[in-house]
Amino acid sequence: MVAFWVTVWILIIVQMIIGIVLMELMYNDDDQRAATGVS
Amino acid sequence: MISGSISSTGGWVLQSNLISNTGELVFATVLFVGYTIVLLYLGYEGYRKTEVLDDFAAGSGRIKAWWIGLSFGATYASANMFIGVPGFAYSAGTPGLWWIAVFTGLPFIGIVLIAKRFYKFGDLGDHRDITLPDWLGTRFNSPFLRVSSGIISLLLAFYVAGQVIGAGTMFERVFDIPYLAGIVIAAVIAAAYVAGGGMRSTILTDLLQSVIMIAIAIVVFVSGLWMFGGLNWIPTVIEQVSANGGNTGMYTTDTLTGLYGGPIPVLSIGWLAITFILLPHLMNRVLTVQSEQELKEFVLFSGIGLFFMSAFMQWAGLYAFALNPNLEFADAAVPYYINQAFPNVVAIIITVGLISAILTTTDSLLQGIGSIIGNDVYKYGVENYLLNNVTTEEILANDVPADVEKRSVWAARFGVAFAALVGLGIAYLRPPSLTIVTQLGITGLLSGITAPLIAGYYWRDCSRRAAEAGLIVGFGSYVVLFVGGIIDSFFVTFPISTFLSAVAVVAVTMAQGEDAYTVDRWDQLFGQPADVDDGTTGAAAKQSDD
Repeated sequence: MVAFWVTVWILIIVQMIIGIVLMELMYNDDDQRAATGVS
Repeated sequence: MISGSISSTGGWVLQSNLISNTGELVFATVLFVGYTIVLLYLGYEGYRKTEVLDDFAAGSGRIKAWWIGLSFGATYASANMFIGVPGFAYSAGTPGLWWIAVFTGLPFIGIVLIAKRFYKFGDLGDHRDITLPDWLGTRFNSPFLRVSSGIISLLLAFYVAGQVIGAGTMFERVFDIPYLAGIVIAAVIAAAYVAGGGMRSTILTDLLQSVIMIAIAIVVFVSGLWMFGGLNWIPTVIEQVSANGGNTGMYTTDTLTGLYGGPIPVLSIGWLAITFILLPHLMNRVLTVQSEQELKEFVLFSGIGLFFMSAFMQWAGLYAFALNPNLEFADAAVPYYINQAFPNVVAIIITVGLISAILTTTDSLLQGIGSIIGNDVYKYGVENYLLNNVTTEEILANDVPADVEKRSVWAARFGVAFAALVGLGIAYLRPPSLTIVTQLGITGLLSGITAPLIAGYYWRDCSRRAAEAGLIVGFGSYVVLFVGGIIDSFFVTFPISTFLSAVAVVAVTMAQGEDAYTVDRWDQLFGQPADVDDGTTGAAAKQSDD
């Protein structure tokens, strides 16, 4: 059985990864617009 | 000697006497005075660039998105994460780690999901929403929502009191300054640079403070290496906590720390963690971002800030228990541990850094309250609704008479001073019911605004009356249930009140049908949905950047 403190770290990292993935999905069109200057 | 008292909000600092000779006292004083001068300079820098209320509330001059992101993280984390919550870990053992399990990643996910649409809605046309009540009031064309959410937000002054109490206690322990003088110093410094420079100064000082807080968090966490014998320090700490009689399981069994007693309390904390970002002094960060393209940078650095400032300091509580399970007050855990782990000079530097953690939340609260007083209570409430010196259309078209604008900026400054004075008064009096009134301004406010806000985001047809009903039912049920004593835990009351508020929003919208104004505002942003056939020519979808 995994120690609880390890579980906590895994939970934190999983949440951060979910946040980063959502960020890439939701905010990428802004990157492209900024890069090409197209509105 | 360690002494002091437990605060009613998150646990405040009790300090062992850190300074053992005159040289150290001089060092600590010079360090703190130097730091204060930097803060006041940043306040002055903001003051020079603050002319209209938009400047005060949403920032002036060039403000980079990554500064705002780190400021968001620092304001969210606050002294609670650095002092009070490790105190919980000291008394609760490893179940205390649930706090960082939810308060690190969930707010990051929350801000990712919410920032873009909140920003877009807040930035329609010539008018930019500058506070959360402003956003609600404009989205639903509702003076009631604007003014009542604004007035409830003023309860955040009690949250200010909690911060100021912590600062006063730290000053007393580190610098031997009487508590009353300490709370005055903290409140005056924060009020000075915020009243002067508004959001710009708040962001700049938060940026400085967040760098300090991240450094402290990492250094304190890593100190386990030398305090507990090498790379295997975490298992060693856990064993020592257990040997000292501490809890190294997953949940608490002691009802005093029932906060982590099982899955349901943990889920309630999770709900608080994610909705906490909706508080006015945090959401206004989104409105400070200067272009839509910069939102991603803002959100990314919010995540970086949240991660470093939330994920590490809890361990100091466990480290302290591993060294000494007999501290009289849990709140002394962090200062005690810092005293043990670092040479005095370093410990003094870290303590000044902890004071800066207190100031990041204090300044954001003061700035948020000041902006709400200036914009929603004064400019709209007094100049518009009461005196008719300006119309809503003029405000939305950014065509406010110069004298009205000037008075509104000064109203905001006055609002900062007022909030600081109220906070000071409460910190001085220390009423026994501090938790209740503080929570009215946090979970009470959130109970009222969460459902209308989310509905405003995602539901085209949500009506104005429904949003207003949501506020009344959410906040009202919270007052009845928690303040009325029916439920004695705000953690339990909060999800229930939010749920009731959501039911009200849905029920009233279903009963009432479409609301022309709010639908029109939605269509301005997103274009009319393809399946709508109501005979009107659809408003063109607004292109969101130019």
